[in-house]
Amino acid sequence: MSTAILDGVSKTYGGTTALHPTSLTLESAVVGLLGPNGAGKTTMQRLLATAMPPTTGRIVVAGHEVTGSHADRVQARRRIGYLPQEVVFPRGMTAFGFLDYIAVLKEWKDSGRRHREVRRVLELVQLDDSGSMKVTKLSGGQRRRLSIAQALLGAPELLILDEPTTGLDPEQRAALRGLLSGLPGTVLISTHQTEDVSALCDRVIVLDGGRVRFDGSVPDLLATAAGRVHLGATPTPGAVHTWKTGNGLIRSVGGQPAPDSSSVDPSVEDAYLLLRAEPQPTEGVNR
Amino acid sequence: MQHLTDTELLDLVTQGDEPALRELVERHTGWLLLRLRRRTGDEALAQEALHDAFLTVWRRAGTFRGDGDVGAWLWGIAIRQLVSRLRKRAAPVPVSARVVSALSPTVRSAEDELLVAVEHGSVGDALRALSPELRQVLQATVIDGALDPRGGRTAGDPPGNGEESDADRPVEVEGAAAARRGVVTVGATNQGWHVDQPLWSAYAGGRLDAAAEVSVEAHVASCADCRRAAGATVSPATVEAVWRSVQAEITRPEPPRALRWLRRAGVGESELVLLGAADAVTLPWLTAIGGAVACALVSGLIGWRQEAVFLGLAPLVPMLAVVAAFDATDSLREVGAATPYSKLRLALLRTTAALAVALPVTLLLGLTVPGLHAVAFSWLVPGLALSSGALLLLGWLSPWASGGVLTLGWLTTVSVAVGAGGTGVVTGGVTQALLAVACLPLAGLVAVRATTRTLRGAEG
Repeated sequence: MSTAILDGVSKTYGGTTALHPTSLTLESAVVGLLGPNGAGKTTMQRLLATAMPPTTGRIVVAGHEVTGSHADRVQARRRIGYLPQEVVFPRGMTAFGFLDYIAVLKEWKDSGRRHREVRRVLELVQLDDSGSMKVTKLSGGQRRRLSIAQALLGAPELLILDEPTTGLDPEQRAALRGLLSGLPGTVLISTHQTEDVSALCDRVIVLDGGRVRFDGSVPDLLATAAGRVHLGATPTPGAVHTWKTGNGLIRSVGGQPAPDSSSVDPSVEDAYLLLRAEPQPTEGVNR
Repeated sequence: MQHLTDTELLDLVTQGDEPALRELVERHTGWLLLRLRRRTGDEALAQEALHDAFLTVWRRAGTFRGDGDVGAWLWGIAIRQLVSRLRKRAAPVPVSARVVSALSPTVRSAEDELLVAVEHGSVGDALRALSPELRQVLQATVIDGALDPRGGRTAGDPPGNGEESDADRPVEVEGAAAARRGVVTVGATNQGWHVDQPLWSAYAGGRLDAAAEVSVEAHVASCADCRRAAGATVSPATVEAVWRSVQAEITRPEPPRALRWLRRAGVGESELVLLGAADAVTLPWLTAIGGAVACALVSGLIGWRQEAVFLGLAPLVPMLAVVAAFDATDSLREVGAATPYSKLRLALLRTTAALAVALPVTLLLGLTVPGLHAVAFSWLVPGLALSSGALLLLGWLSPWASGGVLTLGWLTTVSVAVGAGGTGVVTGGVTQALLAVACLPLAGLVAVRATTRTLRGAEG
């Protein structure tokens, strides 16, 4: 059974369309959302998280239509964990107190069970020895992990994470990957870190200008760039991007290969850059 | 953490460093637990006392004066917690029935029981065999921090500088059948004498004779190596259990003092968490009290149109208290948006908590200021209408923007109305009725908005 369905969902702010009518189905998997700033990633995630209503279309989460009745929306919210792009902590809260507060909002009424759950998610993000610390005394990475912990409360079926790796060092990012890859249900991650997508995601969706530009597996995305990335002494003519690598050779993404260049395996970033360079479709429903 | 000294760890604990406390727990649980067990014979009670002791360390680490051994200080705390636990118990610790019966029930305190356990048990027999001077030192050491919070030091000793005092040193048990036979060499000096693993095991199992037991206890209060050796006799699971129980306590958020009476009044624990988070109730209450006092002072001291000034200011007090209640956790609005908790319930909870203080305080102060009796109640309905308006505006504006808009609007309205026809325009029955009626659709709109769309300030 699908965890989430977007059916012709769009969002318009005033005269600006942040998300064109989009239809997607999310199954149990780790799904990466890639796209430049303003592509509609955060809008799509906020819509799925029920943080705002869509302008058109219908959203279903775990069988409950969030665009329907209030009761259905509440049912859906019981199955959602949401990490916004930025969490500003109120002053005076401890790490444990913050999670305890969110846990109450997630309807954990029994204090004993709630506290156990808080300790569980603190352990998951390796903050189990920092529960009593004031949030203001935590480092940036610790605060980000605390923000992630609140989304994990209650083991939600749909976990929506908006740029979760921002502010994390490589070790912490690796630990987060380990954590997310072991979770059941659907994890939807928006990120600018293409290496996170290639390392973690079963499926990748590329958004651009409020439209879905690509929807498929990581190997499928890589296949779109096969034979289009070259390494040589000179840049290839017409390349989308070129840069000098550590060994002195020029890596060219796209363009016509120069005679002295050789084709290399593309990365997710190469494929993404090539996709972005292609002209955008302007009509039709995203599927 | 492992490279830090106990004193350095305590310094960190004073700053709220949880890993530092954990390190202290891991370092000291073994020997402290062994000693507590020897005092009570009740494993659960010993663990509870230890739990309490580490909680005390967490809360009062700053009281360590740095003039002695941390181990001795910890033991002083632990034994006091044991005494405290014993006091709360209906049944006394198991001691010799003969000795207990000799004591009057009216004087048998927890300290008595400990003293009895030590002085009239096998330890006491051995103590009596020692010289009076040595016995005095030993008794003060063994009866420990129950008498001296520094632990392990007689009252007359000068403060130490980290060196062992006489009482801390292992005892020279010359000529006495006091050493543990077969383990401690009779006549051995304190130089190089340590409590090794077998000796700890013998101590834990109660297989030492009295003087050897005293020696062990006196020595470990100041010997970190021997304390570490004790750790091996206590299972890691026990240490972890002690830490978990301590951690559960220190991380559990305690509602602000102002809210504890609400708990006694039957308010649910979940509601207290919501109200207590990030000053979500302290701030509105302070706003209410401060606003009401300011309102009364300005109205009372100003010599011009006193009633009009009061009518202009007093209705703002509850509205601003409500705004403050929503502002406290406004930054978590986006996080809360995806949670299932009823936004309407949350809004009502916060509003009720804010108004519960703002309304009576403003009313009381209005009644106490001379010259305001005629309008002492007239501000109530406008105050409620403004509060309802604030709740509605919170759907679009930030809390303080909502408060600002309403403050400006209300002051302008009152100025114009009073200028046109005096305070009667506001206090008149028609105006009051209209405002009261306006509250109903406002409240309805708030309810509809909270259940259909997102509500700013109410986390969604």
